[in-house]
Amino acid sequence: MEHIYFDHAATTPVDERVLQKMLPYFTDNFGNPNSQHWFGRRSVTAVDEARDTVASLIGAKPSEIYFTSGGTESDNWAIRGAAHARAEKGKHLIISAVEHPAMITTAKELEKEGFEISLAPVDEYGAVDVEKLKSLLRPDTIFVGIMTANNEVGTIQPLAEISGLCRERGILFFTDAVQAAGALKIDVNDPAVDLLSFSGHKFYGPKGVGVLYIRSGLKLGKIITGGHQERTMRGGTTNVPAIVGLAEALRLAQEEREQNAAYVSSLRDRFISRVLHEIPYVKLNGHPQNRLPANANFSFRYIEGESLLFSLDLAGIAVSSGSACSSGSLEPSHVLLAMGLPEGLAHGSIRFSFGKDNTPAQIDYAVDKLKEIVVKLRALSPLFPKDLKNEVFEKEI
Amino acid sequence: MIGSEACGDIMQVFIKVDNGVITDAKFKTFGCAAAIATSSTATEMIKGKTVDEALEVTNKKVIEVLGGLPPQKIHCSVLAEQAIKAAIEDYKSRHKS
Repeated sequence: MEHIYFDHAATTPVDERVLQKMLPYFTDNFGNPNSQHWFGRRSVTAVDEARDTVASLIGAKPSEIYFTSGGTESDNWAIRGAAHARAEKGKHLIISAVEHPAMITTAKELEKEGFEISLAPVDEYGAVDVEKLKSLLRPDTIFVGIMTANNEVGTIQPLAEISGLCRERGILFFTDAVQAAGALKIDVNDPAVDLLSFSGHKFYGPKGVGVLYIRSGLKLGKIITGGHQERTMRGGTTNVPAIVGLAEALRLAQEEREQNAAYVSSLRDRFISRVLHEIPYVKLNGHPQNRLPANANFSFRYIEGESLLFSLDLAGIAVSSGSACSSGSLEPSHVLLAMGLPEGLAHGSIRFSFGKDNTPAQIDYAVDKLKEIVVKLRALSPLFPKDLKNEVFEKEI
Repeated sequence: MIGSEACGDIMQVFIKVDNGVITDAKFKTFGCAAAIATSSTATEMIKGKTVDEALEVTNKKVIEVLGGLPPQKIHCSVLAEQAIKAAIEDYKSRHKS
């Protein structure tokens, strides 16, 4: 059975070219860049080059690029570092209601320290309501954190407007670009941000490595102390192979971005079109146009997400779900709930995220299987109205 | 019907009873793989039992037949037990003798 991977938003395989670039740093050039000897020096150049590459790709200076262990650490650093650095100025922070748990959970932790967190509400498509965010701004607001694009439903956020608001008021503006970094053009000056995070394993780079961009002149608190690495801002032995991999993966992703985006979005559009036309009682979640090229998140009425996920898994198709049962926490997706989706539909949601390695044949196979699975699960469902037709439609409904 | 759409778990059990013996049992479930498995197993377990014997089916026995459940899925087996009992209660209330 062919195993089809439609979960690229969760992680991606390392591109062969990236792997080749990384390999020498595991064995030949294994030295610690902080060592003073020949072995150490061989690694320093690799990291410097990686830093230069990343900086030039996002419109930043190399001194503004800090390597971390990944998106979660970068997010933690951004919000905690900003909160502690500016605590005297104010203790109010705003993040969107659809941020990744790395932000939301960390923000909740900050509440215990006396900071106040407001969640900026989103519309039915998951896009931040800029007017409502504006009304949340206060004289003691010190930080606004809004992701570039949402990981669950793919909606791209209105960063330009929010950036303007923050600039006017001298408020630190952070964007979690983890889902966007490989797929969209990233420029820290357009729109202007003070802090930006992303992670290697979302764009065909290795896991365990990420970046925090910190605009020069900004004072940020440290969270990983104990070493002089990263200009004394983030301790820990430099993960040379992973950093080399991240830079190479980002370079390739940005160089090939337009053709990849065109290809992947054509797969996504084919998938969305077939599902909307051939499966009844479904809902596409997220903005219909302003969404990441790879993302298609659907709610399937009358059935539950985890049972769909496992049925697809048994058919060889890998996806993820916003249902409570599959989250491990027994809570349904906070993103879907923030968008106003009724709980039943939040439980019945599946996220399909495509990649450059997928094919149109895989899309067609998946839709054909999905149709059968949906009919089977609806037949089992106590919620499916008896008077509705439940069958696999050959073509259009 | 046991459970709720808001919770993400709903089970319904239907039984056919002849002379106090459950001759057939069917289920409908809105829920995860564990929910489907436990309700399916529970209906298999009560086929051929008398109504009173079926009342002795507990969630623990369902888990045993399945060979175990992860801790966060145990509640599914409890729902299955409740669904069985609800079906029998319903039968009994219609057949007061």
